Amino acid sequence: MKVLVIDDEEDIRRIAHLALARVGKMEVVDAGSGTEGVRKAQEERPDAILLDVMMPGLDGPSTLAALRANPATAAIPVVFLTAKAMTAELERLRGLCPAGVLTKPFDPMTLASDLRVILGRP
Amino acid sequence: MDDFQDALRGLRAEYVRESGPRLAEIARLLDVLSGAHGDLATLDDLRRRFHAFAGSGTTYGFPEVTAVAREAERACTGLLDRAGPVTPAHVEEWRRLAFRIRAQFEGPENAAAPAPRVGRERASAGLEVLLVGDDSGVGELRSRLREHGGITVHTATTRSEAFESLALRLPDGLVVDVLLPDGSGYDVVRHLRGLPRGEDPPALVISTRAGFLDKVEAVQCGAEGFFEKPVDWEALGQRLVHLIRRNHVEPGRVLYVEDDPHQASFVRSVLESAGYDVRVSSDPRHFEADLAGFRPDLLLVDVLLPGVTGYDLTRVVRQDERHATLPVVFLTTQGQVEARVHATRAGGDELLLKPVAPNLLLSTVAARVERARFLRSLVERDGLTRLLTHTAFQERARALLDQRGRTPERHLVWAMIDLDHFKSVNDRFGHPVGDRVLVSLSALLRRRLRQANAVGRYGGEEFAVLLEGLDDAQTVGVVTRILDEFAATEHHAADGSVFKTTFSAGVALLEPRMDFDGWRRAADDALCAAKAAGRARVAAAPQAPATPAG
Repeated sequence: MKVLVIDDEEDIRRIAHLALARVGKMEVVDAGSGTEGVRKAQEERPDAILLDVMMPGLDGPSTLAALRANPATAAIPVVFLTAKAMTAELERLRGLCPAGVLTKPFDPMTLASDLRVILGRP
Repeated sequence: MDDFQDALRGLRAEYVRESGPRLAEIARLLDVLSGAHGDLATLDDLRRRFHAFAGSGTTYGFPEVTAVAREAERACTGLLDRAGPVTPAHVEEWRRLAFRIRAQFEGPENAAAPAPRVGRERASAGLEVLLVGDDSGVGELRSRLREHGGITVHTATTRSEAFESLALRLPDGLVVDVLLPDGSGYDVVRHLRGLPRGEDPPALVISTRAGFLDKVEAVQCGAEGFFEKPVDWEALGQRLVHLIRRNHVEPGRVLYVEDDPHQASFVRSVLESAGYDVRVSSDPRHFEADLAGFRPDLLLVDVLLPGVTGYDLTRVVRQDERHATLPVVFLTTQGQVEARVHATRAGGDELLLKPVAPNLLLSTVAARVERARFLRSLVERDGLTRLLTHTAFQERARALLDQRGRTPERHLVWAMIDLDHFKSVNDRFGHPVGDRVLVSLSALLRRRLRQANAVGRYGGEEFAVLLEGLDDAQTVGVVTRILDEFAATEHHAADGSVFKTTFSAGVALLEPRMDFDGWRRAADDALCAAKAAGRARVAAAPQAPATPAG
């Protein structure tokens, strides 16, 4: 299973990479911006995308819209990764109909299994 | 799972180390906000930085960092929503919160995070090489790298293990077998090149098959070199260390022109203690040879020398455009004002009075060396294509020629590449479009010729490449593939129309007894032959007879 991690924070990319690859035995590619993420999604055709919400430039919701606008990437399940755990924010994100929402900071030991549960691929 | 914990600890140490600069940036933003220039953009920047700590702290094992940073972020968001104003009380509160974040990283268990190394040890200490393939070569590679101190070798046996390892951390170098149990070694190199900062580490490929196409594929996937099995580990190790070193900062080189041995040994010991490579030139008659052979980053010149003044010496240096950016620092006992006038007129950058305090000497040298290296990197590169300039390219070619004595068996090839009918491109579509064609070819050359020793913009639409380890026939093959790719590339004119263009190239193998001019001429002649034969082709210079007449 191949996962694309889109996050502008290198800290988060690094540890998500570690958590998904080493604990979750997934293949991981990452992107440092929404624009790069849209391109990588097209090239890599991942099985799932972990998408940061607050990024400079193309933010999470806009990146999701761009992914859905491209037939090649429209069907890839996208899981938001957000640091804003407030209910209103979560409601707003759920309104965009992602495959799921995970909150930051996440536990590196359980990130992969949380993702699998959301995707229904335990 | 133990190595997962190790990797986690490694990431955590890095996170702690990087928190310093991040907190410093927060402190700087707070200074701006408390001054006259604070605005909402700065406040937004501050919020993003607290946000980053909030989102990462707990993940890295610092829940308190997340809690405190979230509080700070909330305060920023609140102010942003109301569009300010930022009061001194706000800034004070953020400072307090930033201080609490800092305190989290200063616990005793985090103190072990090593500071960045300085000095000459840094050349190879702490570097890691990843070897992918069956592990029969590990022992060999380890023992070759041992003498270079501190380069460790990690291994992965399969393609997927290699991917995992690369995901954890970027090695400083990669050696990969083409045939892996679960796929191709080329994929590993391609994967590396696609990672953030994955362009930097050198990659070498090893294979039992060593057909021409393998070498081409090695080049095209982004590897710097190709080694046949059975591998000559000595040669591979040397090449790897050379490539890795090229990526890491070398110690600065200082050439000190001084005839007094006491003064010379004093200055040498001060500079060497700070990690500089120092050569003393005690006789002005050997100065030019020292300058050419040592290629210093800085010239330290005593004003009073036997038979010549340091000022005269500097004027001579400045007449050569290759040394236009070389910083020159004078050491003198002369009266200050007069000496300064002389020093400035001669093209010197700084004047230090003897006896010079070690601290002053070191800070002067450090500042000048760093600046000179940066300037040289700008001067050596062509502004449009970022390739080497004509002068810098020639210098690389001469340096390679000088090294030939040491490795006469390694092939050296000069390829000259010239766009076909480029003038008509400029005439028809305008210079901005012509420039884009130049940039697109230079980008293609850089991408496909990562293992080239030098790629330069030799003239207006002429490019030159130096390649080591391929012979002329192989180079013709490599350049022809690039030509095919370039010829298929569509360029866009301002009016929306699309056009394609080609180049011609000449390739010349460095023959024994060939000098610099002869070599360049051979490449030029081959290029002319390619043009004469109808353009859009690559020609090799005719081989010299095996036993030259006379």
